[in-house]
Amino acid sequence: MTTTETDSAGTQADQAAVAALTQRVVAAWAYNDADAFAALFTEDGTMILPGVYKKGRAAINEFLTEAYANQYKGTQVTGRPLDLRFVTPDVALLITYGGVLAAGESTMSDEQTIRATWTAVRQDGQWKLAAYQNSPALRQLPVPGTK
Amino acid sequence: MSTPEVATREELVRRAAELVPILADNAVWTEQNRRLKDETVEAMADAGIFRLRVPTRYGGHEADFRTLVEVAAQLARGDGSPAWVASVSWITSWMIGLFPDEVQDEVFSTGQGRTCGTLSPSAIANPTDGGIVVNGKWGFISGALHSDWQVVIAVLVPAEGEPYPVMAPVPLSDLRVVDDWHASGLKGSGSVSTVAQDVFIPTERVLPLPAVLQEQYASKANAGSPVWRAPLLPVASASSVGTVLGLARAARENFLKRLPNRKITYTSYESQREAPLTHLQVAEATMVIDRIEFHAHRLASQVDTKGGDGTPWKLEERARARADLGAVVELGKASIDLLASASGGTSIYTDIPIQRIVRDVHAINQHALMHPNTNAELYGRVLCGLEPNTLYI
Repeated sequence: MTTTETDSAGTQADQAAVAALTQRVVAAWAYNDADAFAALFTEDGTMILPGVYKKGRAAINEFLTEAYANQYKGTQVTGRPLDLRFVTPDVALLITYGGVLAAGESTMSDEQTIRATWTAVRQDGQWKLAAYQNSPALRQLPVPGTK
Repeated sequence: MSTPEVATREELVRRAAELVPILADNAVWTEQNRRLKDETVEAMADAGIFRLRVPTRYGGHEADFRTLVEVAAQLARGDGSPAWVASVSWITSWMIGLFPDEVQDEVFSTGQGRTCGTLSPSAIANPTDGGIVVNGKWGFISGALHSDWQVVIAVLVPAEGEPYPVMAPVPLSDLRVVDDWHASGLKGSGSVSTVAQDVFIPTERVLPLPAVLQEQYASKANAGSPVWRAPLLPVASASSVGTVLGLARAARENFLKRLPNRKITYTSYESQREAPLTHLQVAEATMVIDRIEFHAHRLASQVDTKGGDGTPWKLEERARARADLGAVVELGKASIDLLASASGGTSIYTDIPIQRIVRDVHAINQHALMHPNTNAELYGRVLCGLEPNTLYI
């Protein structure tokens, strides 16, 4: 009986499965494991971070591999869900609040604090990331026309 | 196994008391390095401290709760962090004693059988062939740096039905340790985070937490032991209070040791010992410590007694176990703060134990399971006839 997937809340199993994507990212990040993080995306998935746009699992993997060797080396990532909606039974939008922690930090600096949209899709029974995008949570872009 | 119990307790408490000088000597190093010194861990292991809650068939002691209180209190006389780490090992090795006997064979027969863990379900588990796969991270894992196994809690998402938390022992070698223990209290406890990435756990090593909380245990061999005939939360509560009692006793012991040579600076009191204020403070702190003993011992004897006679736990009794825990940590903080306030400017030097004792007891008061307000509210709710607002009772 799978008759509970009709509203935007989704089934509890799907809710948890989508939320599990965040746990997989936390774990992959702790291991600085670009392969594991990239594997969460669909083949043609996209990732947008401030100043970064990558399309395709391979390009995401390449970016993360480089980042884990440099600016993200030894860092951790943390976050909590703010919202979860099912647009269709096979497409979910997860909004999170979190960021990257430098070694020795237990909470994000203001500059690193982000909100993110995770667009998850069900492919062959598995929830994958079709798109991930984040933006700084605590500041807006400069007023247009100012520097 | 019943008659040597008293002798066993005395022996274990004596061994713990013998560790006090080592723990005290290593306390400053322990804080500076944010973890227990190897010498401390080895000495505790040699004394059997990590085997108090291991079944006797694996060389453990199956010590009762009164013994745990007195052993932890001794350890905390030397240093709060190793006492805390010991109590976490007792809770988690007890949890492993709930699993099928073959699982216990595996955990307790390999390595040192040292255990750690938390009750927080901060990971997600998905079913797979023959078991589950876990991803996530757990914070505050005291003892992870020298443990062989961690009892993890994760939310299992079954193919059908609602998700529910499960409990499972995992070898530390399957987890990644994140050295993020930078804290103001229990600094030496090495309470780092651990991470699971696609960790497979076979079905036989997985117990549903709701079943555990309803005392549906899977061990046949431990079913007859009074130690395992108890609910998880009263066990966790009674395993934790000894450290606070020991910290309060240590504060008093250290205060009285320094007292004869102290004056009250910028006053006419040449000796702090002569000041009536000091008499009131010492009397008050001592009476508060008596009250800590009352709550710690009432809690321990309740779990010991019910384990012995097998009477079921009423809701109010479960809530009172949490309330006793809250009272111990609150009174511990009160007595220690009082003595620290009378300890003078020199007491803030890092080699003077009372400043560390203050930070340790404040840290314990912030623990989600131990916070006095949380526990008092829970007890009050239940006394007023409301349902508890937590699973953890």
